[in-house]
Amino acid sequence: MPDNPGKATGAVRRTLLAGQGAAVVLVLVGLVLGDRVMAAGLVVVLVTPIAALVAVLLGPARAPRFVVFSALTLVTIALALVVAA
Amino acid sequence: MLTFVGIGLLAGGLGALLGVGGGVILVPGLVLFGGLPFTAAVGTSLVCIVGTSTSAAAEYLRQDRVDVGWALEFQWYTVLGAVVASLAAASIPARPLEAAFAVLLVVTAVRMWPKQRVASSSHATQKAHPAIARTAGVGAGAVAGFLGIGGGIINVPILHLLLGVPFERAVATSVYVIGVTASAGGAVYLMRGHVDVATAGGVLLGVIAGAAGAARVGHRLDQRGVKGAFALLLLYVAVRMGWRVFGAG
Repeated sequence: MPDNPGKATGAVRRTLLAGQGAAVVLVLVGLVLGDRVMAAGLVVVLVTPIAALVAVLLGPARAPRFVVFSALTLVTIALALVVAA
Repeated sequence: MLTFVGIGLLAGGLGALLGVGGGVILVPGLVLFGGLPFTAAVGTSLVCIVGTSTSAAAEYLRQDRVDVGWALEFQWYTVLGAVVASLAAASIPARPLEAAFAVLLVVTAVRMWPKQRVASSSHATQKAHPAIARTAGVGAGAVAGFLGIGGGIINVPILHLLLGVPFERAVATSVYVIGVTASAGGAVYLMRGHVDVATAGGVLLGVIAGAAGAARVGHRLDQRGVKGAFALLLLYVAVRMGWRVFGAG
């Protein structure tokens, strides 16, 4: 079960809200300015949950279970992107 | 554009209400009504599913309904499956994937059909089976990566039945996990040019609005009615997808 869920929850939630807000603004601006800006919004959308994991790693809840699985997830995604490129 | 926003509203709303990512609506919606190739629909769907998850998960986290411990562990297994499937998907012809999607829709509809709830379904009384859950998590991620769904239809039973997470918390935890899973898969599709940017933008706006609204008012709605309507919608879409694959020759 969670070792320190409150602090991790706060960090994840703040990151999700910030990323979501930025993405919506970029997509809305992209409707006017074109696909490049909209694509930037999509990238922000994709990066947001990953940034939330980083927030867990760097945040106040450093319980081993949180850190290990967040790090494993990040490494897996990074390797996939390297292969995809 | 309004069509895509509408598809997004429907997918985002139902996805957040039922703990699924909305891909079961998005992919066929984009293929049947948006005219996208299946691979592009899958990639576009995954990107938009992240929007569903982010929007709803933030609300569920505020309500303290996400089991953060299980979410952080379980998501690694689903991400593993999703990235492998996303990397492999480009080398698989669309037709068998579309057929698999039609089957998935029928299975999802049957699972979603409202039933009499068993007495223990809202409590964490089941014995945990973490090893099976981890393997199933990889499978859920693979299905997400191949078919452009979030995997919630698999995640929720795993979290609830195999890990003993209470049903409502399992739904909320699944919504969070779906975001990371779809993000990993969607990033692979985006890097390979399998995301329709303009379409995704329109759908994303609808998805975020629908998911945020549903997360706020969902607990006031009749879950049996929502599930029944969703199941019927899925069956209709399954017939349309099946006809596209098998009926068109």
